[in-house]
Amino acid sequence: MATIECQAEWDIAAASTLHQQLLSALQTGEPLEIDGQAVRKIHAAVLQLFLSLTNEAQSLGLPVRWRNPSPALVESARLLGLADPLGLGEADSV
Amino acid sequence: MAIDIGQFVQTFFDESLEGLDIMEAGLLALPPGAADLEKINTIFRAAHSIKGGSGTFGFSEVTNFTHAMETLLDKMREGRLVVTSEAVNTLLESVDCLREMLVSLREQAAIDETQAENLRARLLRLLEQKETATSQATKAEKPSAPSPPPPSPETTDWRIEFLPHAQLMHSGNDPVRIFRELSTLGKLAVRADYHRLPRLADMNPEDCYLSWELELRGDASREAVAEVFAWVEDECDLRIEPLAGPAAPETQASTPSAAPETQASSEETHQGELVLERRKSNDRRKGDRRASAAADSGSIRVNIDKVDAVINLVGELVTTQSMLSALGTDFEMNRLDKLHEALDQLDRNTRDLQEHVMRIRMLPVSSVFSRFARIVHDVGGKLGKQVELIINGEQTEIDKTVIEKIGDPLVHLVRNSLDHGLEPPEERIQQGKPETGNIMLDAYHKSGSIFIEVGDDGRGLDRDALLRKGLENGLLKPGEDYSDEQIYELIFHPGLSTAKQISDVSGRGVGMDVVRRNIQDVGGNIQIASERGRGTKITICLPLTLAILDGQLVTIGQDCYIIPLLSIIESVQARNEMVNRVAGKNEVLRFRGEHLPILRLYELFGAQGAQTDLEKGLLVVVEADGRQVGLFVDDLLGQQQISIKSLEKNFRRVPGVAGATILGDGRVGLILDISGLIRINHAI
Repeated sequence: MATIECQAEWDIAAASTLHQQLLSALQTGEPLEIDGQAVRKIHAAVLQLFLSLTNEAQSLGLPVRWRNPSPALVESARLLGLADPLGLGEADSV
Repeated sequence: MAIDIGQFVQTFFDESLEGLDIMEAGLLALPPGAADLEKINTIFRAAHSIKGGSGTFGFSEVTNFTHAMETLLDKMREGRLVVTSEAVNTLLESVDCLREMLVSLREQAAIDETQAENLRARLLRLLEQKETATSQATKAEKPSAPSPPPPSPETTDWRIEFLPHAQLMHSGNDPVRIFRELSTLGKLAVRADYHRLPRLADMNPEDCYLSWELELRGDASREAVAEVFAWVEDECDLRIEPLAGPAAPETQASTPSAAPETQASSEETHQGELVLERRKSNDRRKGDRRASAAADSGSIRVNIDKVDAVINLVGELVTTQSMLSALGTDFEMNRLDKLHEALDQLDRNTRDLQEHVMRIRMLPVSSVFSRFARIVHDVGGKLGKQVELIINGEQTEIDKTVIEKIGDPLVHLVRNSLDHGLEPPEERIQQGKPETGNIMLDAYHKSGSIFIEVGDDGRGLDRDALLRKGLENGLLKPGEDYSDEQIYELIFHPGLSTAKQISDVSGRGVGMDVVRRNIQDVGGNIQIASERGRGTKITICLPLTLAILDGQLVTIGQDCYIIPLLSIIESVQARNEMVNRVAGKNEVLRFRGEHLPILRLYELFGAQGAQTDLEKGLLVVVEADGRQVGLFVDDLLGQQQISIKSLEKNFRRVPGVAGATILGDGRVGLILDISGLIRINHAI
């Protein structure tokens, strides 16, 4: 399993690095796990990357799972209307 | 491509500080009671941009604080809140507080959070008071209305189509922030459209591929909704339409949209309240912060006309250059006239270009003057004086560096005029003067210099009191006759204040000497004129620019040095019998009844082959900081305009040398630092 750990503050400047990281995670062909515990602030560009990752993983039949998404992460995803497509939809009950 | 947010942060600070100036000017021009919609709108927009920007860059302290200001302004704009002088003053204080916050953030220093919280609480209190007043009034008008209120004709629910351009996020904009702000206006439903989202490998991670359809239910006005997007309006397609009617549904046949609507209520947005870390509040004077707010930004905004003018001149220069090249390829003596003509043209082009490039650094003095409206408002109010500020020539342009240096001295002079110059209203009436005193600020160009005048129609300087003080301090000798100028000069002496009472506005006797020193540091001088009972006028004369100086070229040995023309008094040829040695070492020249110290520059600079016989060289008498010295040089060459290059940056600091320049023959000429030389001479 490939794990991606979220940082506390992820702004647009981080998008480029994360893009590369996600691409390599995808290439492992292993199930993906994103640890969202630390997130305090996350930029739309970063969520957009995760969405593309999720879509692609699904088409490859790779499961993507969130671990401990922080309230800030869920709130940001929800504000963008992306909570469900990102698989963070049920997270609000956690 | 990784985006460096830092480059935008500086712009944010620059723009926000400008925005604060706009807010301040607007607030000062806002008469209590009147609802000048346009003015309030201008202030609101400035506050809104600051809020938006601070949100983008994560300065949540600023966002929270500005939000309170913005809400208050919004209520004023909608006529739901009366403009009171209390509200204006609180907003003015908030502007100051915000300015301090921004400067602290820019300098990565601690923010005075106590002050910000206090002010924010006051803003909220103002809001609450008025809100209750309004809601009570509404209740009284409509007693027990069980039916839902009739739909307001203006505000309804809104459907918002937000289609960002690909580059929207490049400048740090974040839809998360925009939607969060939108959710404070009501109940927000968001539907994202991500059918344009490419495969991960094909993505440019900073481009925006998403678009949104939003529904906002609440009582927000269209303007309020549009304001949220004001920060990005050029980088998106935006459609805001009322939801009340059956909104034509967009056909999104094959687009995979987020199925259920996700909602974010306004309560949620407050969950991230800041945990305030109490820091020791530092006592910093607002004036200082403002000065540094204006000064420290390393960039200037240049009018495009100025840039175009330079480009035009460069074009002409290129034409001249090609003309000269053509002449040079097969030159014949009969074309000598043409060559001369072209060289003249080159000379003209160069001079024009130099002048125009210098102009790029010039800023209108209004950037300094504009702050005085506030000072006069605040200090006048504090002292119970009625003051009118009359400003002339605020479009006069001065070099940016000079502007930065004269801000504080001018503030000091204006405060002095307010405090000591102008009389209280009752005293003015007694003297048959109008109750309202005048402070005059004027700026103009004259004979290659800039003049700035600070005047008042107050009580004028007390010549007798100054004379008495001068005698007490031994600065003047009893029994001698002194001119007015000589006596007024005393106010520039450190530690001499004739103010009867020390106030926190001025009067501690520290200041005028510092004012003069600051002015002298930028190569200017300061003069004072006063008439008892009629007022005082202080005139500051400043050089147009600090990048060019008029210099006198002198030779010492093989080298050429430059003496700033402004510091030269005269040049004399010494005769040996006029020279004395003090303490066996230092030489002085007996000259016009005074003893003038001689500084042999060739010794100081270790120049080879220089003239050592005082009778065969020349003494250039120079003055700085009120002291004179005779600089011994071999000979005088011509005078010319010198463009100053930093020696420190290109080599290292050399005592007694202010900078360097490239001379016409390509050699480096050192520009002498007269103050430094006088200090060196003193130390020997």
